[in-house]
Amino acid sequence: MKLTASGLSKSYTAHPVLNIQEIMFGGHGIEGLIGPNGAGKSTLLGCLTRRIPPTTGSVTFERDGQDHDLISLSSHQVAQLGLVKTNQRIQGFESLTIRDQLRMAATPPQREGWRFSWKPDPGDPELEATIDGLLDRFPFSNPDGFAKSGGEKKLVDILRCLIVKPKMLLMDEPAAGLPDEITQEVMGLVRSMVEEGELVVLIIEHDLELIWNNCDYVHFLSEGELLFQGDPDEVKNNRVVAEKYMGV
Amino acid sequence: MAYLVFSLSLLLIYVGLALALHIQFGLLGIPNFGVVGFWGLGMYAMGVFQVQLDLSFVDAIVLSVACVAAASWVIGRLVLRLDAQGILCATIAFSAIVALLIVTEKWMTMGVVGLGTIKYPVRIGGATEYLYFFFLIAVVAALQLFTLRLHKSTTGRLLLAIRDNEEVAASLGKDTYAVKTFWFVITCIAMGLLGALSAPLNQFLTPNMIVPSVTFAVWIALVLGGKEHSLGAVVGVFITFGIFDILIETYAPVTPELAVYVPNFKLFVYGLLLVGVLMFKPVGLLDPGLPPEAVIGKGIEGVRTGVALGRRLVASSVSTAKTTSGTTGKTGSSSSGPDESPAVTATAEPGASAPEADGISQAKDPTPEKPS
Repeated sequence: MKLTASGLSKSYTAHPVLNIQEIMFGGHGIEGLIGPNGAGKSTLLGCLTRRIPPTTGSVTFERDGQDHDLISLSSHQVAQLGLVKTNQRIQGFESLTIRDQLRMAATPPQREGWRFSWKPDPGDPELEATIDGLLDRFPFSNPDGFAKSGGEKKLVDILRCLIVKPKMLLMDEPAAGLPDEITQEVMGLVRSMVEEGELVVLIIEHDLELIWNNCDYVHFLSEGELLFQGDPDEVKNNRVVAEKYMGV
Repeated sequence: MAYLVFSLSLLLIYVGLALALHIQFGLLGIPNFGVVGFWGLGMYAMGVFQVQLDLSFVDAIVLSVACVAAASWVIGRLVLRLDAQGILCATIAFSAIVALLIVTEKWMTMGVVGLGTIKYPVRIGGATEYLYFFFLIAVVAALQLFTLRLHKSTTGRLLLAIRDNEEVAASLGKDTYAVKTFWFVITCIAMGLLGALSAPLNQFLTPNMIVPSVTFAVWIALVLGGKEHSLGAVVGVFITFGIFDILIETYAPVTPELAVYVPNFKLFVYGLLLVGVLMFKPVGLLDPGLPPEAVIGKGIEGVRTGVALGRRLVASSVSTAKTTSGTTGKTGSSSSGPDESPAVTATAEPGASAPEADGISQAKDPTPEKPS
């Protein structure tokens, strides 16, 4: 699983926000992407998942030894290839219960076609077991009801992405809006899935403790450019990172 | 009686249109303000194929529906990537174009002269209209049954997800644009089919049938009844069209001088109801969480109480008739008095109060479902 972007740039009316020569994700289990506000981290993720059209550049996703050019695809096709992103802002499906949101996310599109439109949801015992497992693991006030608090909605957003079984998961600030112990639990779950080889992960986060504790490799982005990348210890001790970001 | 059958047939058409709009807007979030365009295109296409080209009923229906399908596919491709305002304007424009073309393309539609006569599929003397009425019941009941089942399906869940947040649904691998286009075309086809089926009902088509008020009537009915509920369309149409166009305009004892004001009064009450619903219960009378079985149960209950009230009224009026004819003055009138007064107030009410009439309209729903 490798996601490579080269010559990637994005400008809004001649105002450049992103300009990356070459960046590669997926070589290590869990990777981090850090940088000050406005560095272009979320824009980069948007460009990678085709939610934002880049101004120039190419994005290639290598899966099972096959290269896919993502620029020519639309956002749902990117997701179907196994590249999925959790959202920074709270976003969800207000009229679906927590359980239905997870069911909807995990149901393959071919089982939602017109042939199924007059049949009650047959239900998939295996899927239901997975959902039960996830809902038991996390403390929802009412797992059969709707997601109420911002924290619950954020958590559902992450679980929704996990249940579609992505090959590469991009997490945009997973800790923002989540209580600490839930973040720990989420990271534990993600880490176990990574260790089982189910997926690779890229995390954007301002909570640096989370980055140092979980990531095997860290990229540092500032003013739209990739300034440094390396092991967490290298990044921690890098002078540029310290100056530009940690304010030392 | 024939007029009642005509009115009820028209009511069924409106129920069908509101059901199609319920799927389009209530489930999928596409604000189609061109309902009359798709309906009118189906109706006029039916007229042109039958009258100008002398095709059979079935051939004409198939071709009319094909016309609507083609038109809605083109519209869908053009507008479904736009936001709500864009879709709203485009669909209104579409219906205006259809209305205009019907007036101008005289060689085909006969323009303002009108197009007729459109024949019923089968003619059996005086039973023709009744037969066609039952056929319409079957069509609309099938549509209602489909809607009820769609709500419980994986597809219905996907439609709701797309309405709630299309971008996130796409990011989970759902081809939202294709799904929207498909269901937009399907529901527009339903509107076109209902239009084609309205043609024999009206017999003679004129351009003044293709007016925006059809769209608004369907929208008001759906929003009142509950745009997200599978039975909202039926309930809404019975409250609006059922009460005003059928009950009041046909049966209310209105003097000719006052009858002039009824249509204006109708618009006034529609507006008042709409504002009231939007202010106090924006989801409409039926909450989306309410299970359809409960709504049907309530409706049956409503009819039972209505029938019981009616019986008491009849019984009390019979007893007063007896006592007055018997001329045993005081005892008779005092015994019937307390019985009579609640019954009389209750019957005076349905015209004015929505909830009472609501019960009746809901109960009518399960009956049309049986023939399918």
